[in-house]
Amino acid sequence: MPASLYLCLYIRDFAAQTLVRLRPELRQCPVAILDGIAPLETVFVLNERARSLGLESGMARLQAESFSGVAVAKRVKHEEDSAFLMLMQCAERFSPRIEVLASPGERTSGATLVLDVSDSERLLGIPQQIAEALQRKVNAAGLEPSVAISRNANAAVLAARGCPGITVVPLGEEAQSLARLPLAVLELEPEQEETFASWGIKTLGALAALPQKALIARVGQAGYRLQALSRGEYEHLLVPAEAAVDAVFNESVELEHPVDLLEPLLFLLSRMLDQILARAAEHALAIAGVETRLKLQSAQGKEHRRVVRPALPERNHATLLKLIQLDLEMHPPHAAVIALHMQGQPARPQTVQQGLFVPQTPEAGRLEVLLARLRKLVGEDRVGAPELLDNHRPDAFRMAAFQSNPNPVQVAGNGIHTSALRILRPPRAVRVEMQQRRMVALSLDGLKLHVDKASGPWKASGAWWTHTQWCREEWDVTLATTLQEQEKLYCRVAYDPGARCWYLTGIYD
Amino acid sequence: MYVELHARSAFSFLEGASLPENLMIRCAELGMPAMALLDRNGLYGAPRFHVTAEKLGLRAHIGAEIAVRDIGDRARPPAWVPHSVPVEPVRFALLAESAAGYQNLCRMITGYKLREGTKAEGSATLADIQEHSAGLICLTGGDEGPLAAALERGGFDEAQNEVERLVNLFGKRNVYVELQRHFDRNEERRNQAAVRIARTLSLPLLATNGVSYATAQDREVMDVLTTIRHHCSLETAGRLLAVNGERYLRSAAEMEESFRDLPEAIANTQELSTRLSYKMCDLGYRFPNYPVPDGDTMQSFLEKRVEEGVRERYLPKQKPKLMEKAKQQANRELALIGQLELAGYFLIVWDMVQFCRREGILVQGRGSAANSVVCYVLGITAIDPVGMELLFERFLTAERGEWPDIDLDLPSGDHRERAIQYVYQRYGELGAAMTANVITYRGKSAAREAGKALGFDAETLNRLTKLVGAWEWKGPTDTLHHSFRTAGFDIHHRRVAKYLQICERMQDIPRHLGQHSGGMVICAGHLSEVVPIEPASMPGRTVIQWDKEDCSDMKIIKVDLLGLGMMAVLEDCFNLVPQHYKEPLEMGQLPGDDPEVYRTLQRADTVGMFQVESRAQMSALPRNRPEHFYDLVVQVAIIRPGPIVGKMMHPYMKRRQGKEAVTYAHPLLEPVLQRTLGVPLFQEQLIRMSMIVANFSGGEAEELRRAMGMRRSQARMKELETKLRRGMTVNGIRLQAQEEIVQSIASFALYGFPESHAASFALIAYASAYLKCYYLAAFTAAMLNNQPMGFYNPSTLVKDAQLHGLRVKPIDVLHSDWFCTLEPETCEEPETATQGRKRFAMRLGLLYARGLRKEAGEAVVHARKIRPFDSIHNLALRVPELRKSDLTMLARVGALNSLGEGIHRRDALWQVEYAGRPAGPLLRQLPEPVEVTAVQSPLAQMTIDERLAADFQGTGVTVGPHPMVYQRNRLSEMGIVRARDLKNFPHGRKTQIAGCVIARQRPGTAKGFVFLSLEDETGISNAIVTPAVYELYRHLVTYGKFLIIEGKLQNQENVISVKADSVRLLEIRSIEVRSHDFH
Repeated sequence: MPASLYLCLYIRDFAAQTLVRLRPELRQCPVAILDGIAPLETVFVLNERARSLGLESGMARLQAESFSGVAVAKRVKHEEDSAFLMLMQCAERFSPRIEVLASPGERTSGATLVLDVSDSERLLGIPQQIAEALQRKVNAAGLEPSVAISRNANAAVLAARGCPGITVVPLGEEAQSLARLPLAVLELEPEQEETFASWGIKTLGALAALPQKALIARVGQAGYRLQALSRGEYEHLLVPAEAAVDAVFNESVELEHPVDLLEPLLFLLSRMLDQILARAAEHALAIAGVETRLKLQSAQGKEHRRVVRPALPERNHATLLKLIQLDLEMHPPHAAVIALHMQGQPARPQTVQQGLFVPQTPEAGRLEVLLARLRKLVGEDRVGAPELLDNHRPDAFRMAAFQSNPNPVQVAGNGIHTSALRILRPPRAVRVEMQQRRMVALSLDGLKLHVDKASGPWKASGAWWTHTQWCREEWDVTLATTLQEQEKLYCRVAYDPGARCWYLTGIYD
Repeated sequence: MYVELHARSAFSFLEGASLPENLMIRCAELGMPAMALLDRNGLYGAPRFHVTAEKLGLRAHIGAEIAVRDIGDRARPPAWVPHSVPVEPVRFALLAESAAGYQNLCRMITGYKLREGTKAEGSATLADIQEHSAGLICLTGGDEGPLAAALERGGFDEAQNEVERLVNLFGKRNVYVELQRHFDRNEERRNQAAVRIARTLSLPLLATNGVSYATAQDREVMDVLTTIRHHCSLETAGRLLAVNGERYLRSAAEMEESFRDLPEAIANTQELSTRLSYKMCDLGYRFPNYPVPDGDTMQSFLEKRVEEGVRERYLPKQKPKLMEKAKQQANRELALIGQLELAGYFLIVWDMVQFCRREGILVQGRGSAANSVVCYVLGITAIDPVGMELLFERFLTAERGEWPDIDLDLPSGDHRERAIQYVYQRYGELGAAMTANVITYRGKSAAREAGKALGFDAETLNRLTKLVGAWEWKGPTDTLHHSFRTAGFDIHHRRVAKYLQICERMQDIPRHLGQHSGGMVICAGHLSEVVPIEPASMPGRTVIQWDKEDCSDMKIIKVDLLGLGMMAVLEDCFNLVPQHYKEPLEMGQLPGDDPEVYRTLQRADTVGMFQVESRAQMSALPRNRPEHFYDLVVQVAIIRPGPIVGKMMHPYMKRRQGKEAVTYAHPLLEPVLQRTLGVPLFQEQLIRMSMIVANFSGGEAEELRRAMGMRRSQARMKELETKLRRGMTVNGIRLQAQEEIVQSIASFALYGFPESHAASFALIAYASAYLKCYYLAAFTAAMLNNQPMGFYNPSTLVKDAQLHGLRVKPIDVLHSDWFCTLEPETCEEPETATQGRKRFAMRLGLLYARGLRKEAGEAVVHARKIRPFDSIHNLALRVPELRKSDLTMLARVGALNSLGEGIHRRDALWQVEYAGRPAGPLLRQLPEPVEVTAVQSPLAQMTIDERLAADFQGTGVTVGPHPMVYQRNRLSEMGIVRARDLKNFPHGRKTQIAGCVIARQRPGTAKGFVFLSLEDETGISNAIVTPAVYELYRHLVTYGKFLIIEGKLQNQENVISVKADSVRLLEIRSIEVRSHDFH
């Protein structure tokens, strides 16, 4: 059986290289890439030049910026994704069997790909030539890789991590080739790192030289694996990357001409949705959400992104399409569309068992469409169930999704009669006449009403620490209407000291 | 007229935003004649409130809000309203009508606080209330009260029942239905019900404002404190915050306007205020009597003890004149003690000292007590005030009307705790307690808490607090505003601006109550009737609700049992020396004025010595060249902020060196100022000066000192000054001399140091210097065993001891005890100052193995005593308390090297990794397979750098050569001078020094200058960093571990330092040394 041959492609400080790829003028500069949410960004990746200046991973933005001449940039995830995609494309030209050992994930600084290049010599040349060809390709794409080739996949990985440029590990000389590499290439657990440091073991060669049984007796089976790795003897079972299931639920269309009408777009979106739903059905899944990204003609390729999420995972094409349509009608793109991308979020379908004695409820999909229609009609924040907020601000509430509460809160009566208040939205501006700090009359739409009784002011204020600081004084007043003297009107009147305005805010039943 | 009768201060800990004194000041501004303070579960703020009222001529009513647990929870918003208001017990608002009421309140709070067992809020039961209701007036309360809770719970009927219950508990005359109006609709609904209940039950109405802060602006601070209390931010606090800012102290006019429909509620406040006759002056505190035998009074018993003491102390001195003088002085003091009825106090302190003597605990009185010959002969103090001509009036005068202050220094640690427990045991749990220490919001804590409240996340706050200058000196740029700008925050942004305001306004607001380091109060009868007592967080301790200032204001006697690290060192030495050197040694028997000790002091070779080891002392010692004990007393007193700020230090030094003539403002002053060369240095001198030049009595002179010092009352100060001038004129002192004397008194009163205190400290300083000179091994071991203490880190103490010829041996599991110990030296050494004494080496103790628990260390020693360990495996097997990490650390620092022939640290580490592996008891007993436990490991020996790093990381010290030794060749090539060689270079020469930073200081008196001490293998060199250079190298100066400093050499009178022009980092492998930074 012919011996296998593996190539490892390693991009050190991937995020920094991604930036330099797009801004070649920074190639000779120290670069620090920040990650995290402003203002708490910390240094995530550095290039060698920055490291030599004394910058460290984990430094705060301010600290990093205090070093002169350092290019400090924020991490751009999609740029990394596209650089990685390009890297994969380069690799795919050399082998169909590629394992991704480390992709530029959330907190990984380097990217590592292992390619099975067994039996490629005739096609691509000797190992050195294969490595050089791949290096050229990746260089042309703007990245600087380390490439290592070995009959042992792990040896190739370690060599690539430890040596810049190209390394060809000759068969049978794995141990010698790896011996001088630092222990860091093994990516040890902190505890192992501490043990080996206390032993003074700094290179793979030193680790390889330790007596095996004694090492295992001390470090356990991990000791065996680490020593075999450092001797270039630890076998690796290559697991080629496969397209993820999620990728199945993506659909994209590039348009020949810009489209600025919703109808033709919907026609295309319907087809795309059909495809996604069909694939979902194949996997016995439903769609929990649909993300639509419309690439716009103007504004430097800006995207218009909308997400529709039904209350329950949905399989019905018409429902989902209607939801997308209503959503786009409410939030139309502000320029003509030149490309479409749709991504479905798969989920397990949910079925609801109707109880025999439970009142019939509307079908979930139809209810969803109805609510979407209502939202379109009256505005997004005006559909749902009102929910009081934990805040003293008068009338502080928000609209939340409808939710049936099996245990409604009982309003305890304390023996004091309270009457219902009908709140006027928006409140109506009124004029108030005061005499000797007492309210005597109120004018509403030119109609002057005599104030019979007034109690107040009831003062409330808050949010003094923000620009939305508020302050309000309220009175409960009894108005004698001029039309029918015997009838009284019980109202709530408010004064906003900030705006110096009076409002009628509600009427008591 | 309106009187506010329900106010909480900041001593309701996070439920009030103004200090009691500020509330009272505001009360005076509003023209209110009286006010009541009702803090939550305590009388914490009462003394300040009372004292301020006294000063302002107002009346302070005292009370408290008492949590009661068994009548339901306080009112909360209804369940349908979203809120996170926690469940808390109802609180009764109680006011002390009479002394009996006040005592009941104290007893009740003490009762339920102590019942909790641990530090907690606690709550009373109805039975407690019933038992202690006499003399108390109950208000129905606001939101927190029982009426509001009952109304919420069960409506009007329940509320009426609740009020009836209060009537049953306190009596109809003593219940007031409270009404508060904060412009809140719900509250008004409650008020309507309360009025109906009051009418039904014929109870009086009482208007209050439920005050939580003095002025309307304080609402913001109150909101922030609320968020701190509930561990949330302002954004998320919701209904935890008050609905508006109306809980401020309102004027009578405002309250009358609010309650114009119920004028009787306002009128009743005045009526109730008149009824509240209790004033806090009447605390009923008495110092306990000392039990004396039949036929004796306390005074006669004290006189007998003094007579015995005089003989005991003065007979051996064989100076009849001195003894006669001492007797006269003692009689004078005893007469005054008798007149002031203080015999019991002296006997009780004497009793404590006797206890310490019996138990072998080293004890010494400090402070002004050392002025008293009675204290000296009773053995309370160790300084002979007659021999030293100290001034008794500084300690006690008839006019002062204050209790004398006796502070006892004890060895810190267990011995001091035993003395404290003796006091508890002798005077009972309710008769003695520690004084409190009020922890307040200061710069960083305020910044952090306010930041959290305003929603800044922890990381931003960490960055910010790092930016805030932590040094003592606050430069013009060390402000929060500056730090914010530096950190890139917009200080005009509302949230940021508010943050800055809140930070400033939160300063000094109490955060919680701690216990004072040593102050104890004792009382005849029950202390719990005078002030509430509560459990301290430390087991076996109780603490009163007042701090030492409050105790002093309320005339409660406090005895300070202070822990002093150096006393523990001396005590250890007095045990070690007889044990090893076989020589008797006692504090009182040290040879006086030993020339070798003074030579050492003159060289400023004082690392580790009490009070004279700081850098400032080291630079003053070669100039002052102390030769006698009194020089040391001056030395201890002169390096203080007082003399430095008062500009007394330089004139004294100049005169001492003969550079300036010794002159006196007036010949009359010569006897007073002769010992300090005409420069007033001590408070006693100031008192004597006024007695001599202006014929002041002792009491008047002491009052003058205090008035000048505290600058409390301008009027009184002026009055005394006029009297002083008049007296001087009578004595024929010229105007110019008068001016000079007044000036020197005025400038020095603020900063002077008591001579007696300096003498007590000088005695300890002398003892420490003597021990270091003659018993270096014992002294070093004792110093290392009592860390942390003093100015230097253990690594510096070790290096200094080594420079003085002490062999310091490393930690070794076969030889080390838990503490550092002495081992006899076998090799012959040339005779030195030890004068043929047996020589000892010092062995580092296991306590220096970082992370090793004491029980594990002691288990090692215990097992070793049974049979020595023969291998690492044997050690691991026989001492299961040692974890694998302990074994690894011991191996890393070389403590296991002796467990095998010729093994090095890495061999030990190799073995430890096997011996310490997790295995059950069965497998651990298995014989060791040879191939995995070979003594020789395959590992290479540690390099020097690695060994140094391991030493510092594992023990914080290295007993081998100083790390700088290994750099010396490189440094010499760079032209860097060793610390020892600096004295050979001329003043003004450009020099480079390098070393490990062992101390950094930025003293408040030094105007932004930073002082660095660098240590190398030959000693310590000093560098001065000017503010300008500090700004350039801020980071390096603050954080650098090994530094190279270049600058001009300053060599003045053997005081050598380098004035830094530039600072560089010295690249040394990662050695984790620690410096002592004074923030």
